[in-house]
Amino acid sequence: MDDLKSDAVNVATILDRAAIEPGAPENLRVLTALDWERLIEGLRNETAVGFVGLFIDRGRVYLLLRCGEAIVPVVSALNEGTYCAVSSARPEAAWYERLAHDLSGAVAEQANDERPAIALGSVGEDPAWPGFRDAPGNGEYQIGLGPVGGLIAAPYHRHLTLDGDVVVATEHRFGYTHRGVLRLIAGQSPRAAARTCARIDSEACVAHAVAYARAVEAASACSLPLHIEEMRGKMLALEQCTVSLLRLVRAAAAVGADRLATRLVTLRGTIADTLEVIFGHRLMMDVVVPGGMAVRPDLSAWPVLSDVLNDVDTVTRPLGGWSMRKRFGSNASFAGDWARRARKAAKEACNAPWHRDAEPTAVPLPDHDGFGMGAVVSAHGLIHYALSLELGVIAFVFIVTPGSAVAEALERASKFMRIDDFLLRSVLLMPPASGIDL
Amino acid sequence: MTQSKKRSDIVQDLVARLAATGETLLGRSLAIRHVDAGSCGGCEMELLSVTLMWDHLGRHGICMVDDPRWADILLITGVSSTGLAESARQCLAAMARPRFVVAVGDCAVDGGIFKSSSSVLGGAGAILPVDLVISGCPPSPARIISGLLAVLDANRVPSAPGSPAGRL
Ligand code: SF4
Repeated sequence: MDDLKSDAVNVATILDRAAIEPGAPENLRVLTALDWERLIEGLRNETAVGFVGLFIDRGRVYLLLRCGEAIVPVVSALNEGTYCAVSSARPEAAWYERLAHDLSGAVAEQANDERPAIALGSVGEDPAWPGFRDAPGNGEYQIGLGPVGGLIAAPYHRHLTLDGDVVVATEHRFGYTHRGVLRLIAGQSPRAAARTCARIDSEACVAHAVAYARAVEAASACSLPLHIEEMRGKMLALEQCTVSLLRLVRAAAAVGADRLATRLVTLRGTIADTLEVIFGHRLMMDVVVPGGMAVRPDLSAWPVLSDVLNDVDTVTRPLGGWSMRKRFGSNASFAGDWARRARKAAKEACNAPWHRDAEPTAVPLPDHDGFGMGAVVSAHGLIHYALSLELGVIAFVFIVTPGSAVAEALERASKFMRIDDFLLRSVLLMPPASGIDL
Repeated sequence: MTQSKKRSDIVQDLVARLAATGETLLGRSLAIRHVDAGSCGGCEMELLSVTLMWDHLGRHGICMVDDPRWADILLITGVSSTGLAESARQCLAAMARPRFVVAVGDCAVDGGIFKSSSSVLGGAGAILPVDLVISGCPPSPARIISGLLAVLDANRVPSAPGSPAGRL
């Protein structure tokens, strides 16, 4: 918070005088409606404070702000189901306001986008609502891709405005895979809800499970032994490695580099086979739980995994070569980035220590209610959980995922790109829709 | 690893069965149209392995297609979410008979861990007539391949005259 005080006087002053409700790792700052409005005003010119997420629970609006290293939760009561929109100061909040409206009915006043986010067909005659904003200009035409399309394609709809083969504008429509994850978790025990969290997004099974577990552990004032944190770190590195390889598989297949795609997918498949032996699951689902790990790793397959991880360097090396760079064109740096990340994660996984047999894999959760938050940087960006434990069950949870921000960044980047280049970049960068739709 | 030997056995088995039975109803190929009806993406990861790791399947006539009119199998992954139910139905309606619906993964089998959510309709069976389910969360590539073998086995028995796709 020291950064905040020095660089952001107005916002810091408002947060400093807020009432406090206990929470971990940061207390909740409770604002009056007037101070909430002042805070939004202050955020307009405040560059040192970042927007992380926004959600509604039981008549209150929660705003997560990044202040230096810390993520600070701010809360204010709704006024007859409404609150002053954050998107008027921070456009990136628009998605969260739309999502909050669809999930709770709360209205963000003076929001800069009032379309539904995931409630498809909820407004107007058009079952494919929300509608798109861009109208084609002179000589331009529009096409829609998805939600069903391609060979193995993620279910979202992409609306492209084109001039010849140049992209003029891109919009995404999400919500197709909405599974009611947040409502499903509420009311569950911390242990039971971990299974749902692990199944939100296949490219972040471990990341979701760890972020969720950290939030529960913070809420229940549970501290973990170092070796459990180290084990989780190793699993996160293994997930980063396999996700990076899969991104490269899809991209290599998209540019017709079939042999490379097959080598990469075989490598990833072998890693998954060994992970199944070690953790009992190919994607390491249901291993991380609040309080530790549900599974004691079977290290008999570690030598095989170690060998395979050493192969990551060799198999990803052609991506740096001239012929591959030519195939990837303007996206070569993105492909190279995934290759570097795969190699780095493989090395990290190899170097991190395994815990010894005598050490416990979990500690009991204290019988303690409260508000807690946990975060993890996944292969696609920050995953952040905020939840409240009441009477031993999850009273509410909200999850910030990187998908909507990545989609918005892709929309901005698409302008004036050739459509083929844009679609390839999307193959490289777009996270699974399920993490966005929740 | 021994696993890869098992896999190549499975592939050979599939290729042999396709040669023996494929012409009965499906012609010489097995074309698969995939629809993600509300998946976390895990089943797709394994499906990707099936299509690329065993790329020689393609040489023997088993392939993924993006047009349902060319497809013999509609392969569904994920829960049946309200937002995608109609797309899945339209996909099946566009497929010529005989056609099969295969539900892959626990979510598609019965809604899996999400079955009690009010936002999902259930598994693939809630919106389509399913011929075969392949359980697992996610099922391994070997399991998916085994499931496809079962489709070919099922296809060995010709349907009654007049109802070329009686089971659908
Ligand atoms: S069955 Fe498992 S892996 Fe497949 S979509 Fe459902 S949760 Fe994901």
